[in-house]
Amino acid sequence: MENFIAQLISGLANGSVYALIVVGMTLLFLARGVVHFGFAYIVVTTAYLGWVVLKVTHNNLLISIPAFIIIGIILTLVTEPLFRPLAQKRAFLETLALGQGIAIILTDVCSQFINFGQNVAFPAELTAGGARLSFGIIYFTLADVYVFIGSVVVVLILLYFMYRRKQGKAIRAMAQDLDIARSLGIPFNKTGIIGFTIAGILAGVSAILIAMTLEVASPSLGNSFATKALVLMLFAGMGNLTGVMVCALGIGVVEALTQSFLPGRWNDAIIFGTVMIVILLRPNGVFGTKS
Amino acid sequence: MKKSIKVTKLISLVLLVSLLITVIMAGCSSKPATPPAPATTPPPSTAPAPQPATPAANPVAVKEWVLPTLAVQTGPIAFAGLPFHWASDYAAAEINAAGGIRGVPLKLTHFDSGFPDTTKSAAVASKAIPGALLINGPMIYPEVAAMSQLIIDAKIANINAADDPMFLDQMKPYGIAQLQSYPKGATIGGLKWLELNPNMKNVAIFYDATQPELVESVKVVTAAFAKKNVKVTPCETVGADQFDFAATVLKAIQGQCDGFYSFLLDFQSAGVAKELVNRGKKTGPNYLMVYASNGPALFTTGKGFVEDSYLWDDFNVAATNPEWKKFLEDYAKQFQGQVPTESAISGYDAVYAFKVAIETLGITGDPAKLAAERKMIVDFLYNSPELPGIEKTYKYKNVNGEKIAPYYLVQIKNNAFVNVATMPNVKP
Amino acid sequence: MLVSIQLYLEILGIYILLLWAMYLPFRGGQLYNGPFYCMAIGAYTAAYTTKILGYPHGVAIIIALILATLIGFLTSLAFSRTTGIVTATASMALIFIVVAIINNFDLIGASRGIWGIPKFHGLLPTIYIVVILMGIIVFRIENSRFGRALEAMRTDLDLANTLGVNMPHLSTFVMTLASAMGALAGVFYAFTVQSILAQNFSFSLLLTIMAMLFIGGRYTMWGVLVSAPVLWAIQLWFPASIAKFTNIFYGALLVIILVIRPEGIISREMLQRLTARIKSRSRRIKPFAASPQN
Repeated sequence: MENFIAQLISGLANGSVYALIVVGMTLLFLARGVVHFGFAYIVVTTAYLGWVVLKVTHNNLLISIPAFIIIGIILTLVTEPLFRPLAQKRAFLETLALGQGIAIILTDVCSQFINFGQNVAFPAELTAGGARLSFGIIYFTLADVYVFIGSVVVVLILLYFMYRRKQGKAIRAMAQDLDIARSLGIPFNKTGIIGFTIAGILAGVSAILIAMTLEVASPSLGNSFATKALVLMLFAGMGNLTGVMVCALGIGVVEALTQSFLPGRWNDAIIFGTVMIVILLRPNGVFGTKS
Repeated sequence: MKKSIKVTKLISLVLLVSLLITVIMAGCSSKPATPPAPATTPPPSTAPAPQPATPAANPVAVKEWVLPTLAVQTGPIAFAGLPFHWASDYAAAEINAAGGIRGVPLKLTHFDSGFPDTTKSAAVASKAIPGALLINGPMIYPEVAAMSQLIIDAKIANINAADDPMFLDQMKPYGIAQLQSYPKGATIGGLKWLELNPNMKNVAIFYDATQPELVESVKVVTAAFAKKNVKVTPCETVGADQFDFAATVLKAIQGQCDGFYSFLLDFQSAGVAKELVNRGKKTGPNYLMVYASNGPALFTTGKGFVEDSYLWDDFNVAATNPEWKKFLEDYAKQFQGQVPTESAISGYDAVYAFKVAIETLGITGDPAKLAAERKMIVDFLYNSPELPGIEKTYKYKNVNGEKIAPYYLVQIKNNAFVNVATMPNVKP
Repeated sequence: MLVSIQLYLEILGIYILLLWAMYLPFRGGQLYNGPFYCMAIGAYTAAYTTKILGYPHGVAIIIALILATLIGFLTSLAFSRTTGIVTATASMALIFIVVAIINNFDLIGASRGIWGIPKFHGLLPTIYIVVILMGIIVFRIENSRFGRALEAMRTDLDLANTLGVNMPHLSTFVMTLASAMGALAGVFYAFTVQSILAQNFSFSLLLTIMAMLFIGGRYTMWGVLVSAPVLWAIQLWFPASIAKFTNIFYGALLVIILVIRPEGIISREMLQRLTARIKSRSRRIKPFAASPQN
């Protein structure tokens, strides 16, 4: 039983990491109707560049943490104009290919120019939250708690923004019907830029939290996150913030449990098997497509 | 609004044109990469080798020797191949500074073997093979698998091919191992470790179940440990991407293990050690790692968690001879303080093996004799005389394509490697 | 023939088969990933039958084609009744599942894969004969009532239904054909590289093919004939002195082309203009030649 709880907790922590990324992608989907496959890679590259900043400033957190966020915003905003022509044409599938192009570039930026593609380890100042809570074999670090709480808070803030604030409602309106929204005077460019900026802040925050929990980043991290994120988005219901969050946590837990009770080689088959069965039973995604 | 999109498109068009111009210019000029500064110490002398053939009888027929070097240069695991290319260049520069091979300079041609796109590996090999006497690389199993038929068809030797003995057997005699046999090393290292820890009864092995030679090694080690009455609990990870080890470690704890053996990469071994300590288990002499765990993460994220742990390696990572020290320095300068990886050392050694082969056999490089000379090199490398390794504290031989050299056991003390034992590579 | 050029052409043929296999269901509005897992099944079947069972290549091709198409048919029965996202996700999930199963299946080599597949002489002409054949089939389907029905399905499903288009039947037919093409691609892959691993038929291949499809122009069958050779050639013949930047260049190319020309290189409008021009030219000539009054 203790073992089960320990697995559950570690699964939730991992799931929170997935959740952060998928929530960012969902936001971009709502803001621009694009599936930003490169978002996971933006997060990983932000983490890498943040590591460089940490090294250069000798682990000065006061400078580095804002640097993470600024880098996240810059990287995401740079990709915004690239998606405009496709968003105009509502070419939802081409955005996958565009995202893949961005993904390839970012992976190579990390693996060629930063630390020679070796894994980067984040310094103790960032990761040692200090207190570890352990009950026997169950334990979690402060970082795990931050990540979990962080992802929940992020989703709540986003929900508030999307449903209560004018800009958020504008974004949802554009997602629902582009032409009507435009004819109502909602600015196409500005809304997209706002959406991407928020996603950029999210990328920076995700990068910090990932650095805290994983303590290590590698160039191939982008690949594993992006694939899972894409499947999660499709499976949980496109554009559904809460749905995507819950599914991400769920996948984290399923992964942890599969690993402990079954030979590790079956991990992929079980996860994607679950995905396939669920999507066939609930065609609108687990929680339904929402705008 | 339309205008902003037009501007975007215009900028993109300009970017595209300038990209294409850059690529075309680069392609036309094709300047080779600048090799690193050659070492000032004289190159290592070739160890007691058979008498070289009389130079006059086989005059060199080429202006330069060409050795194709294949390894990943792009993509997520570029870090595995870049040191290989660099170290091969380093060795070539040393050789050229000392007068080349049979008086003729050595030139390396570099190819990107393109992991994870193995189709590209096959295509790149088809470009590298024509006219070559030996292929150096690519060291990664899926890439060699894709290239294997081309190598066999061309009847050319492929040094640093891979280190999976079952696969190299299929490719014989053209596939030469990159490193020594993994299952053997895992067993020899593991048994020595058991000697040093006589009270261990149940060992957890952490390994990536998607890699066939690791699966094979676990089987072999389990059988060997069983003979010493030590039980093995396999704890599989899901792949090289795995970044969180809670689930895997919990499995080990559940199995009541008192010894831990990690087949994982450096940051993963460090992560496992950390998880173990955080969940109340001790690591120290009862924690053994493999050569793949040798990496910077042991001393950064793993600092403090792997103190007193053991590691077995194909190379003497705590060697003290001057050539090795110089190589360490130059490597650290190039790669910002890092320690040479096994792939770097293998690349370096292979270039010298090429030199020894040419000198001993009196290879001329004459295109008319290509097939015959390829065969000579294949036979020479498949069952080779003693060849010098960079560390000079070991020499290695190839026996039926399998590399034979001692294994080394080191221990981490005060955040540095210390020699513990040298174990000969004999059937355990 | 230079080995590298031969290899380039063989792989190009395989890519074109896969691209058309993705293109067909796509015309009907479905993103069906079946060609990829059928490719895996076809490749492994062909490899197993030729290497381990020792049958001649022709027999292996037939067995692999039948087995993989059958499996593709069974999955299309399920997928033809579902729409866009579900088909895409479920068939994508199936790719991973098939790869995972193969990796655990010791009989066919598990994660070691199968190597040393016997050489097939005359592979290159065979591949291109099949490519041309498939091209004719796709062309005929496009320009027949099937093509119009697919177009109707893609534009408005309900309208198509009222017009009498039987969606499940048409979808199943098109998806099974796509699976068959995927199976053939797999068989040829096994014979070309002569060594296969499950990871060769996984997500990264899906991404590569998608990129080629969208850059070429996903609304016509001819676009892939432009994008595939170019994108594949870049990977292979990028100048060695800047090989470090291959991926960055490739990624940048993808991005830039999709920004400049989001509809792909060969778009519907371009084709329509070309055919209109050809038609008007032939109309001008015909009356001159066929006027009987003179």
